Amino acid sequence: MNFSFLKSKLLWVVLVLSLPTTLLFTSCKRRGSEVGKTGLNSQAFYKRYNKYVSEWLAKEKGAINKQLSEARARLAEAEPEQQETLSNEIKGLERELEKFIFRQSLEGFFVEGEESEIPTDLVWQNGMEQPDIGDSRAKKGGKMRYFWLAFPPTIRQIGSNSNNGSRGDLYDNVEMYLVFLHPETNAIIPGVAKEWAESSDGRTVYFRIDPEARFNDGHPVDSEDVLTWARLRLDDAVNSIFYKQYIREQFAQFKSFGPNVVAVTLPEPKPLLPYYCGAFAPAATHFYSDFSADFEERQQWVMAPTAGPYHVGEKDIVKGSLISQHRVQDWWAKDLKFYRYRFNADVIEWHVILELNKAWELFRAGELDYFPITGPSYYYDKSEMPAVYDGYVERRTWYNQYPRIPWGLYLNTAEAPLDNADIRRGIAYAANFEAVCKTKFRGDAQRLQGFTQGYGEITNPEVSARPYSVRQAKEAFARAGYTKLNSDGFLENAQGKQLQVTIISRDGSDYRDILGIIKEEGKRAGIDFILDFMPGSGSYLKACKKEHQAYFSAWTFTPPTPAYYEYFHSRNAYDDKGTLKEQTNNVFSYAEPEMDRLTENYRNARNYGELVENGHRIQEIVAEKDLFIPGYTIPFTRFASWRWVQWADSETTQVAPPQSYRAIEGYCYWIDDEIKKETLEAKASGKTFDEYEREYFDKWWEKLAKARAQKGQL
Amino acid sequence: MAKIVGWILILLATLAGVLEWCGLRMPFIGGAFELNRQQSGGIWFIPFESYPGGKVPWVGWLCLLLIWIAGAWIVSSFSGKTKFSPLTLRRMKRFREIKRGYYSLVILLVLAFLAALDFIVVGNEALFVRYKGKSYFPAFTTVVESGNVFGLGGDDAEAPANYRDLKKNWKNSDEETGYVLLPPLCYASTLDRISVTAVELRQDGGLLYQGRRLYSGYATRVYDLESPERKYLNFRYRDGLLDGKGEGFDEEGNSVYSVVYREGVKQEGTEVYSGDETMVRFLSKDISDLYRLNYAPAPPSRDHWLGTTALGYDLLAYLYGGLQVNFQAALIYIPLIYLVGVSIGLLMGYFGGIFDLIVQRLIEILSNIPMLFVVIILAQAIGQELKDSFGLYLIVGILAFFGWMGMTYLMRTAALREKARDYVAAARVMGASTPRILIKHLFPNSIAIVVTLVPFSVSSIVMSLTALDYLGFGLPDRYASWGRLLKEGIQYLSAPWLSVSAFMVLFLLLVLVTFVGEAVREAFDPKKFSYFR
Repeated sequence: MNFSFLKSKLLWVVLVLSLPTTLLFTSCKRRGSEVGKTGLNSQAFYKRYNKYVSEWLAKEKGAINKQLSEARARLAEAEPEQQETLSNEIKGLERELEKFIFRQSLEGFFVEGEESEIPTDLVWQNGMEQPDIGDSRAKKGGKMRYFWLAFPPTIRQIGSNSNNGSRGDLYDNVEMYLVFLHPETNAIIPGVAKEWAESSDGRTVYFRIDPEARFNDGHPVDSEDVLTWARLRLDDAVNSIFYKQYIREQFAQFKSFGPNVVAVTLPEPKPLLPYYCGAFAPAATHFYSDFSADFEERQQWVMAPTAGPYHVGEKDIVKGSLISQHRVQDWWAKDLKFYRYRFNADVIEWHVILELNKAWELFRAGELDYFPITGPSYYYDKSEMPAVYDGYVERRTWYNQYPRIPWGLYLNTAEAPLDNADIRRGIAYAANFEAVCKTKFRGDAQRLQGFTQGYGEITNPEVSARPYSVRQAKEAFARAGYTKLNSDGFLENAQGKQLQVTIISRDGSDYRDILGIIKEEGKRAGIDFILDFMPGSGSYLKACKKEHQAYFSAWTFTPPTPAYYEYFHSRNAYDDKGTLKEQTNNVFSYAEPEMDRLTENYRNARNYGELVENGHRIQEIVAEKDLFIPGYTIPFTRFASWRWVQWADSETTQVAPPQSYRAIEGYCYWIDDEIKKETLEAKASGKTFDEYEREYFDKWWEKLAKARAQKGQL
Repeated sequence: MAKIVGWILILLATLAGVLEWCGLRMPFIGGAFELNRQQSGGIWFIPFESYPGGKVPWVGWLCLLLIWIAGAWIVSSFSGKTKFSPLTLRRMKRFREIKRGYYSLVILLVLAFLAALDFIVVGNEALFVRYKGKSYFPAFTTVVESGNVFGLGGDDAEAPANYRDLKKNWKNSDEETGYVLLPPLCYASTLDRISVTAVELRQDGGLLYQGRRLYSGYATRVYDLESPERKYLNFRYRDGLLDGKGEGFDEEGNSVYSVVYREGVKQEGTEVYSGDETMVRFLSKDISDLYRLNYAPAPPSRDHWLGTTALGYDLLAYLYGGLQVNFQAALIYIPLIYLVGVSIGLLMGYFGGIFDLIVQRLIEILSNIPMLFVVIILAQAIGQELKDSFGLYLIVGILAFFGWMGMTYLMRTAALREKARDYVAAARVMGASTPRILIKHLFPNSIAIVVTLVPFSVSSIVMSLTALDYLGFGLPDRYASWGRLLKEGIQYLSAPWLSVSAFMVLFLLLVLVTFVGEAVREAFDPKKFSYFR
């Protein structure tokens, strides 16, 4: 063999391989030297962004104008039956156009003004008449230990991977927004802003920042920090596609007036305007003095100062196992109304426990203080344990007002055979959620009756779920041509095609149990439900791409009203070319003129009556066309906690503010160290207490619905 | 002996064919059709009008044909004079002498026989029903009988008949009814849910006992013991005494009554009733005693010896189903990988040169791919519909794709060694063709070395299937699977019967297979029989 040839070959290989490596190293070097610590440099950024927005506005306006003239041209030659749809479309476009015209009339997106520019005719409000939150018996101190099932990939609030499961606990639930909604009355209450005033056109809100407001590091909060909230999220160094679009489209202007007053403007008037303008927390401008392109990398494990009650320092992170939040001892809002009885624990420890069963065992051993036991196997079996009998662990059932989570099957009408209404009707009869409620949930869950249940008067009381019935399911399937039973016991049509529908869902033992029952009971009715369990968010992504047939899930709406436009309007189903639109909430792919009209009317409703009327009709259609097969709902949350965890029980707050999903949200609990000592001693010596179990009934929902109906407020 | 086996194979295959043609099901060899019918995809069937069911399960027929041919080949090639070679006889004798392996094989064969009996021993379809003078054989037919055939009304009329309920109803009924013969274990391995089991509690001297211990927990009176999820009154007990909240339900399942007890004493003013009757009448219904309701997964009880799984399937039936799946998988996997592996190994050894070189590299590449990961990725990429319609074949096919490399090198070595022997040269000189040399001379003389690997391949397919199912990338839900059971066991730590039984069966099967494997290897050990002089 000719070795010299081989050698030369080898040489080539080495050369070729080394080339990219060299390039890699050189590029790294270059990048490193290029990046300087530039800081936020906001003035220049505002200038740049204002220019960008004005160009974008002009472009968008041109596009809408073009669409509008096209639509008008079509209207002129349209058939009478299409005219209504078209004129509705034109109305929608005109409304859009108005937004852009208004925005163009503004002087810029980020504006720094003078204190003297503040209008003098403003009526300032401070929300202090609202009832307090929490329990006056609350004591500060102690440690709350709970768990996450995964360690967060970062503790940054913004940028890549920041939208992880821990973010709510680290930021969203403990942040101080400019203003909040009162959890019980839904009125505006102060946050970082001490008072606020609406402009006469209903688009702008002026916020006066509390002069006492401080970040965790003692630095005062000023108006610049409000602008920085948006500025940070708009920066190219921060990976936040959602915010970049959201801020550009949902806000019209951020304007500061001296150090204490700031105004936020929306493109069009909205109910609860101060909340929509101020539901975010100012960002610590001074902290970002060394902001640069490698911000995300550097700040991976750094928590920027917030104006909130808890902070995570460098030492509080044990990677992979624990993050502790420490209460800011001299927090500026600690004696203020709405905050004085909350955020009581000195330390909140988030232990990372990958397996739920292990977490339960740790709770039993007293290593965790709180554990949700809503699931019947936890309540009826696992928590029937000596620690409960002996009174060390207490159980509570809390009928929270949070709109019930609507579990059910979301059917995609664009996918055969679900495009056939009879098949959907058959599925509605063949999905035995009654059995799921009775056996999987042991009667704790109720059959959900319709798409949006639990919204007071907006919920149509006439709409109900179709009961499980083999006969009626088979009749419906027969109408769709599935008449013959094959040897497996499934229905077939004349072409020999077996009746098959794939249900996608998240993976997990609960999902497997529930859909296992649906599959078996479906077989009795002759339909083969194929179950596709996808790990992580796979099923959600698939449904967003509209590639599913049936999707077992639950979409929650933020109170007070459900949204329908996103779910049923044809504009969210198909694009102009008639292909399915991805990444919209219309997972039903439903497109029908009457529904379009109703959802538009609902969205633009001017009073409560209109809202109720359109909402009722929409729910009727959803049920009639069997778009959503209602599953089940559980009206309460159950949890177990060790004796030393005390829960709010006052006139205004029981356990937690009513619109909370979990009992620990709202931070109205406190840890009583004396009781902890007593309990641990008793446990060691074998002394027992009386078993404690309590139910808290929902007294807020009815009240709220009534109040809202009277006010005619949305 | 061998001849009898041959005849039995022919007979069974013929019988299975005849029964299949008549639209009847037969376990054992007829299982080929079952295996075919488990796949719901179109390509597994050829439409044919006059065939029962309207479509021909061709894979089943193909298997049947192969079995028939195998039987015929055995019968024809083993005439009375044919004897195994002395070496083979010695190996068989040696194998029988290793008692551990021999008895393991016997147990495995018995298990295989049981697994092959299929719906005759385990299943929820009745073997025989006599109703209104007519006889039915629901388990043996491919037709699914509706409830109305047996006079069931309401919603049960349209649904497939539930023979267990039928039997209980007819037993309790005074009227002229029918007769149902169920298999010994009358639960199907999957899709046959028993949601709730009821365990009777004993009241003695005002105290409630479970067995001999004072009872703490929930005790329920139910409307109907056959479906205990229909609760009537539900109470909480502590140390045998009523304590805590009690609740009552009407026949529709609406909560109509509530009360609170403390240490056996009804708390005043806590009793609320909102139903249609009077409270006294509601409470005085004589319906059932107090039971503890065990929801799935339910612990072992008289009806369910090993308990039930998380989905409420009878655990014993589920384990049986899992065993069947393992045997079926082995039956597909072993011939597949050995056919491919042995042929390629032989060819590599015989031809050598460039062919050998290329295939060696290919094998190196394939065997360096982390098999389980690739299978997981493939299983993820393939749609659930496809997985459902191909069922077992798909996953076993993927496993087989990465499973054939093991024995190629052994075969290659054996072929390399054998082809240099004089008898091969002699055969070639006499004008034997390459295929003849390969099949007639090299194959029989080098196969012995591979036989010892077979049991270990069986354990590897069992392990792979279990691992994949455990990770959630395995078979569709309609198959029972030990891996999924293990996973359930982890998820329901408080139901130890799940993990314990899954672990035990897996352990036992693997131990049996390994014992057989070791015995075979020892029996085939060349050091035992060859001596160097």
